[in-house]
Amino acid sequence: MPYELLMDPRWVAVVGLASMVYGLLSSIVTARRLLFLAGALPHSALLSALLAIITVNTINCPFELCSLLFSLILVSMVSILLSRGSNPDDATAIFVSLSVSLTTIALYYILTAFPMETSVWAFIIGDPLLATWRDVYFTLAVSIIVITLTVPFLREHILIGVDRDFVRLSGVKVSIYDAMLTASLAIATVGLLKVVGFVVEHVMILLPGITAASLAKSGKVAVIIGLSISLAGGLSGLLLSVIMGLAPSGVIGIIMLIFYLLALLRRR
Amino acid sequence: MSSQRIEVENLRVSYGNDIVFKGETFTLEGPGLIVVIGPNGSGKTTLFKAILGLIPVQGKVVLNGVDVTGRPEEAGKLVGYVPQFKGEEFTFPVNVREVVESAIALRKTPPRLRFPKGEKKRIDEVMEIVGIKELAKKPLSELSGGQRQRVFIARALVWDPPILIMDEPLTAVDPMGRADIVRMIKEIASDKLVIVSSHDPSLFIDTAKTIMVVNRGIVASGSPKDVMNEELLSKVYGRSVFLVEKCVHLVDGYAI
Repeated sequence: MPYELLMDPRWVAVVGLASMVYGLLSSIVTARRLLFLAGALPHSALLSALLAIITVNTINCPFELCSLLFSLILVSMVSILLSRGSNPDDATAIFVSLSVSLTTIALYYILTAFPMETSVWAFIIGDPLLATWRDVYFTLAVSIIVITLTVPFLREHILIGVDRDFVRLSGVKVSIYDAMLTASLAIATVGLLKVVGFVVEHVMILLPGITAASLAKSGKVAVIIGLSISLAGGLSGLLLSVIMGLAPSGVIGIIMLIFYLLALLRRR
Repeated sequence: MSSQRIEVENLRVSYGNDIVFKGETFTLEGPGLIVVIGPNGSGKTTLFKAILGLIPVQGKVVLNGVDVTGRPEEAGKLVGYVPQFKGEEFTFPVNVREVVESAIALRKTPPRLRFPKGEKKRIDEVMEIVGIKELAKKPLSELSGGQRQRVFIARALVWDPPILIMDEPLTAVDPMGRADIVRMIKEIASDKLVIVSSHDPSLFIDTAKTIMVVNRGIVASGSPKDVMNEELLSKVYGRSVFLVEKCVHLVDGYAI
């Protein structure tokens, strides 16, 4: 059977958009040396999604809005900690411990209080094959917001990563760029959680940027490579997973890892 | 030549309970070379960051008549800054040209993409003067300490500021590279106010107009002849001061 018949356009759309967004954000967090924050983000995204499930089942509030709001609060907390000079190891340890503990409590509560109404598996392992057209539109909206908040300012983000003081001296309000990046990360990590899942979100937000950084010779090229790796990994992973009958996000994660290992070999 | 004047009034800087400067007042005027010396942790970088408005301070910092206290965006209009780098900052591949042109790009309004011919020419010119033109496409991570310092000196010079502050520009630079950078700094100081911190003031002593000794406060400030004496330096550096007569520094055959 030709592959195009195997692939539902909704799967391609959500995976393609999510890969593009992760590729972009991954390059920025690598340039900004925020890998500690990036590693903690999937934890805050999962906790936000679970808190949103509880809220939706308690008061009448749209799930997407609730989860975005929780995610913004949690990511802002950790990025404020880091920007105020807290040791990244300490800040990440505190944040991950807190979010993991609260996640377990929330998960237990959801599974006992609303076992019939909710399925949390999609948030943990991710499943683009369950995407509805509503999911596609939501993913598109998330992508547009993130692209608008980041693409016009890529140069500034890269230069802040090189020398934050110099950028401040040049008259750029660095705190505005920090806020835009924090918002983008908060929106993307929780908004795309259902597509890639909590487990593979770590890979998607860390590996494309690190891989690109080890291959490129300039900031501009690094961002382009990061985007390309993420898109290639996402779409080929989706295709392979459908052919082989495996979990899409898992296959995408493996392909990203292979790209990273190949980049490491090339560097040696 | 534009004016080059730094006035600091009653400067107080502290990190929590750790007081670094308790109310310093001084004026520096250019052109010329000012060398700031002091042991590790004495407050040299803090002094520079205070002048540049990068850290919260009490007191007043005035550059060329403009009050820039706590306002880096204003200080940055008058001062080119070469910060101290340890090397681990350059994990993301930013190339030499991207760094140098950033000094012009960031002063534009977003999206900061266009460089008119005049600006491109100026970038090429400065890269040529500083000797990094052939490195334009190399990422910072592939450069030696000396090459990297040249890149940041070029970045500071490209928009032609009247004042230049350089924090330990000889750190991680090999001996031959040191000789070249020292020569370059001396040339720049002929028509700008250049403030340099260094652990080896002897490299600049023949050109320095003023040497400022910092150790949790400004301990002394004056001509090299007045400041570079054993008694004063021993108070600051303790047993690390050695008096050597007729000292010649040889740098791979280049006498400085």
